[in-house]
Amino acid sequence: MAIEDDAGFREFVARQRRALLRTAYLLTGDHGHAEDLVQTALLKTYAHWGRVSAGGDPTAYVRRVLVTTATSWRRRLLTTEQVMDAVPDQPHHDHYPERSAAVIQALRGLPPRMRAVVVLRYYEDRSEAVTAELLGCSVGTVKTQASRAMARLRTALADEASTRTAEDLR
Amino acid sequence: MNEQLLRDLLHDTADRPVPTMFDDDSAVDAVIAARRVQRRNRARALVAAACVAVVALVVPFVWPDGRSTTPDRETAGGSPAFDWPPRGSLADDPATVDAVLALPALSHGATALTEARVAFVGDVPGVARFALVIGQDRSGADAGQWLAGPVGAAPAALEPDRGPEPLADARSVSHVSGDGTTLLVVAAPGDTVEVSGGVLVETDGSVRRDYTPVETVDGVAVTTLEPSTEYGSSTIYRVLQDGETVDSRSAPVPGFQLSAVDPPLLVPLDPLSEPPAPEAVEIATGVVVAQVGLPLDRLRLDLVYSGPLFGPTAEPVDAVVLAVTLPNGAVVVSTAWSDIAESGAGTAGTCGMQSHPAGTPLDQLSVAAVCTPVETAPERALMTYAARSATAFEVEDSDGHVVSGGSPGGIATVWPAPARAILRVVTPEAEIVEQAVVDAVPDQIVDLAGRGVDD
Repeated sequence: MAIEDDAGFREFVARQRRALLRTAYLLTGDHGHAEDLVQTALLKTYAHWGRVSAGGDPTAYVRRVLVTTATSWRRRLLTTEQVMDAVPDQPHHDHYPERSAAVIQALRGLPPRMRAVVVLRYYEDRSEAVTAELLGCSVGTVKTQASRAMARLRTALADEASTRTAEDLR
Repeated sequence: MNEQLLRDLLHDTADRPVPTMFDDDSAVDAVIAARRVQRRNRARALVAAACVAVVALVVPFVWPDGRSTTPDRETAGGSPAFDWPPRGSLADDPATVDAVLALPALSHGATALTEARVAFVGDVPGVARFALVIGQDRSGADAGQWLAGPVGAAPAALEPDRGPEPLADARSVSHVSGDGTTLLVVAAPGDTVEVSGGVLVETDGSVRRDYTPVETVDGVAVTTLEPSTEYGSSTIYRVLQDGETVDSRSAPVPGFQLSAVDPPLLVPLDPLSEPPAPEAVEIATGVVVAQVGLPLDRLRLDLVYSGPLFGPTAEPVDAVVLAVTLPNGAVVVSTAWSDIAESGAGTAGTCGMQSHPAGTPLDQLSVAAVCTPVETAPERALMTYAARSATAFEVEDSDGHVVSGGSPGGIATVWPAPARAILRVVTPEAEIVEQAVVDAVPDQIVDLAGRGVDD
């Protein structure tokens, strides 16, 4: 790969990596896995960087790889998942760390592809069509998965008083 | 809970800072280095030295005098490295050591270390000035941070060279110079270092690694490296204590050496083939190149077969059977699969490598391998490709049951894979040829009896 391509890749990483890490954190529920996942996605992207960067914005490509890789890591994560550390090690304005931990736990209770639907639809605000394209499934599947995920998250988070709002309690 | 609340919860959760091992630049460096070595990653084969030369003249300059082998401080962490004395031509200069420890890079950001101490600082003449600082990284884990600068550079001018690397229970810490030509290994005083340049496949198809001793002074060794291949360096070093190997690692590869190469365009020899998936060809090629350490232009590549590898429930993945002929005529059969969508997303992997004697005709190559195409497989799969010239084949498990067989034609699969199976192929001369089923251990070439370099 040419040096100028490396520079372009480096610039791309500097621009996108933080956002990728956030998405990866929701997809994996673990900081270490999130960084591993992003590194893997970046590695796959880098392997085809010439083609990817020539085709326009590489962001869509790396996100596809991120999601595909995350959903294919199911077996690995099942055997290595650990309870996440609820205490961040950097200054942070999270006023509800317990709530965040509960959200992560609830997400991790979902099957990987269902979890990916939640993250893409409700965190990244992707349309159903784009989510379906990213996951390689039909829009109908996305609708079904999203509906089931909402039901399961509602149940999983119901016991978390910190997640309740006045609206929920009405 | 409604959708908007879920959005808020997800954003609150995701916006928590993610503690990372790498900063952005280090992440890129790691990607580049990983790309370089990805086809040879986990294996810890050993020995050989064809591509490594000892820089005998360098060592005395780096370590001008003998040093005490007594640790000079209490152990700071759990890694054996904390028991090592500081070494290198400048290790006895307190001002240099203090200046290194005072570097801002060791106090802030991704390269920050607590409980830091200098394990090595000195010049490798004609190459660079290096420092190795060990301590605890931001997560509290033992880690080593290399710093580098021009020969003779002021200590304050040294800069981090890649990110901190975990020490864990490492018995050695190594670094490759920025130009990729020099390997520096720091081990315990008294340990010795040997280097292997790659896997050797003999004309009879047997495989081995040879190791060459590197002059090691006070536990520190410096060697020059041959240029790495398109798919990475196959160099491995091992550390010996009292003649016993206590550590064995791949030589680190600097980022600039990585060059993503286009997979070779090959036409399958088997007429039953389908157009090959480039990613599978690339994997099959890269794992061999990265093991034998020879550049592509010294190898002959023949795509024996490409076609579907069917799973029990899902769509098939693309598989290839590649024959790599080495300069001595020995042939390595490499199998790989890929599952790549049009978007480019997907995964790929190796199903292992098996060596055949020199002169084996390509139409007589058969292979049976166990691997896990992860996108489709709940279990490991046995995939078998029988030679075009064969009249029949069968795979027998350890209980003597035939689990697969019939006439050649494409790739036959068995899910889940049986344990310790053997492949039998019937030649046109009615001869029965047996060969081991390849267990797809990454980065290991086995011979027809299933023996690798460590067997």
